[in-house]
Amino acid sequence: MNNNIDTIMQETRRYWYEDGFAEIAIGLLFSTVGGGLYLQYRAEDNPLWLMVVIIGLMLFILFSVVIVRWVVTQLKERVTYPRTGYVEYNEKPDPVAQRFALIFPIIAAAMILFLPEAYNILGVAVGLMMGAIMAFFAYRTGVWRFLIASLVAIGAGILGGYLTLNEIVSTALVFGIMGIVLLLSGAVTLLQYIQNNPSSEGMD
Amino acid sequence: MTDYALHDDVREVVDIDRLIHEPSRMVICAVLYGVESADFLYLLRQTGLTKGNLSSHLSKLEKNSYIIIKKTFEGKIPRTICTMTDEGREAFNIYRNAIKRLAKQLPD
Repeated sequence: MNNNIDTIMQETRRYWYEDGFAEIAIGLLFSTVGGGLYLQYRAEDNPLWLMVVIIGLMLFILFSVVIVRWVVTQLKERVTYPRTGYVEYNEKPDPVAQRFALIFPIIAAAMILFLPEAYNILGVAVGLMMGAIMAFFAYRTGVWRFLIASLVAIGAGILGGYLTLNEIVSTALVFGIMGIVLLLSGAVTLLQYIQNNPSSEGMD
Repeated sequence: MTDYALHDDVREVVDIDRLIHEPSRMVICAVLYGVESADFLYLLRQTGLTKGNLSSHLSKLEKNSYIIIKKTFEGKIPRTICTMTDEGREAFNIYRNAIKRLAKQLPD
């Protein structure tokens, strides 16, 4: 019985990802960040361009945090809620996720303090970090396709390290590949969702 | 000593909130406990009940102040939003903990 209660609660958390919109949005965000980082690498010889790319990337990341949520909610309002119902989530942050998120700045700070040469393996570190975050999401939500993105992120990080790519290029590789994988899995999820749930407006 | 423990266990079973313990209402409460609110269509899909049955269970929960039901419109589409009250959350939490304790005491 208790297991059933937990399963129902997890299913409700998972509902946010059922239509694939969130993955598509995060995939677009990551791909753009990957592209931006690569542009940053290409612009290293031109200080003006480098500054434009860095500021542009920072502004994009800042605004996208707000815009992504708004766009996803608008799409759900038109596509998801009329088909399978509306759910409003608590704005309170997940305490387990908060503790989990704290681990990475601590590890990063420790690496900068005690292992300055770790900057050379930035791509591997970012790959492992993104992989761990996606694995955590998979565990918390029960959306096991996030594990694919997790493995891809780790693989891309290791590949960047193996090819001894520049640290910015290997970080761009992690974000770029992970973004494409999330975009694809989101698109497949959305298609399946629409096929399985024909529109049923006015059911209420 | 064992007898008293047994009596406590039995009391816990007797004291279980029967309003929540009914399977369909338990599902409704488990859904609403984890979110801010959910609409009728989502609950219909999660419970697998008919519209009439779901309405009846929601009314019982509303009558006991465990949930609040609001009717709104999203454009021209009506939407019935259900939100669990603090009282409902507390009752569900007590129920959930009691069930956890009871499940641990069951033989394999």
